[in-house]
Amino acid sequence: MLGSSPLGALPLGSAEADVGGAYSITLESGAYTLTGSDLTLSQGYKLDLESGSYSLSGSDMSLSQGHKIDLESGAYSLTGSDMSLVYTPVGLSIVLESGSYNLTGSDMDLSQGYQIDLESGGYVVSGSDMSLSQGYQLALESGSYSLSGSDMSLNHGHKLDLEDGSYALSGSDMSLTYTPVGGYSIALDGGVYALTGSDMLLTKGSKIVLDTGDYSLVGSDMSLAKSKKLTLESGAYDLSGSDMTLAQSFSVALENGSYTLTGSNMALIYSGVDVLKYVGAHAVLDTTDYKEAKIL
Amino acid sequence: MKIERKRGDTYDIIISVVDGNGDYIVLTSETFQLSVSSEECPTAAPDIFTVAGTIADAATGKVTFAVDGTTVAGTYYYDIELTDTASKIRTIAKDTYLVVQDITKS
Repeated sequence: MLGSSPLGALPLGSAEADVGGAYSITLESGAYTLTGSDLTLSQGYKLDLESGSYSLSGSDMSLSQGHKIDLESGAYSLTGSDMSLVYTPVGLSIVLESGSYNLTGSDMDLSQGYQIDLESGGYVVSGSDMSLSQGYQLALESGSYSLSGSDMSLNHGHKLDLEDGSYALSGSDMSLTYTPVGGYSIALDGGVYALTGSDMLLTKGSKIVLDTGDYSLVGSDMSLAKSKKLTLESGAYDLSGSDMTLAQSFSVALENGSYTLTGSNMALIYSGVDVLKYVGAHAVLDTTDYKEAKIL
Repeated sequence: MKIERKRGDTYDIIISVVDGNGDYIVLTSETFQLSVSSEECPTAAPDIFTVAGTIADAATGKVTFAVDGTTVAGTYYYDIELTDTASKIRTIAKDTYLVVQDITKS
């Protein structure tokens, strides 16, 4: 059985490290390295990392049902190929408090019920084919974040809340798909944002609400589909794209502010004059000022 | 809506544009034209006069037409056309335009 080592590096064994059910490792302040191929952290396992500098890496690192990682203030790096963060009825939880983190992985699978809470700090979340599945929630509080990935898929019921801060969301073929539960939602509070992507698809029922701030939405072949709604409150915005298509029933509501909408072949479909305004229109003589004289 | 004036009167003709419910139509950039003809069914341009209207109070749909008072006494015919912001034309008034002989000559 492995114990704690508060005063130095703790190189764990590789393939032989079998950390079974209800096993607990507590690492206090210090510098540690946990490495292993096929490192398995199984059911009921708990890993608490207090302030310090850590590096967790492994190929095929599996964090299974009921697993919890709590990372307090510090600098961490979690990397792995085919790192699997599996579903639990309670929901697998990673809580990252203030600090600097780097979560990377190819084919990182964030499955149903998974939750990541990132508090104030600087984070980088990236991955190719990063899949954020049903019921997934990503809450980013104030800070500076970068979310990027090729083929980043935000699926059914996904919710992304971004509070004040500076964000960059980019990806090729970034897909924001439909959900019957109120539609896909991105809510961006005051701040500075950049949403970019080639072939960015905002599908049926999708909604983007941008509060006061500075934004830039760009994309080639950006498609805003039927019933899509874009609400821009006071601020400065720049929407641009080649072949940007605003389809039937699309609505752009622009309140006071400074906007630039540009695009080649941007199609703004006829909304018509308010023809109902003139229904039954006729003239009546105004006799208020010029009455005929009468003898009193 | 008959219009009756005395020959030589130069006060503006003032109309209010209302909708089918009698509510004022708030005007934006519509244009108006008053045309007066000696014929009830003219086939050519109006032979008496035409004058463009001026929006005097957009909120109450008020439009004024300046008339010079030189039209000789007689019974004429008029209409008022509204051209909306989509360049569509609507005739919002059509009736007789009566000029009664005045007494004062100056």
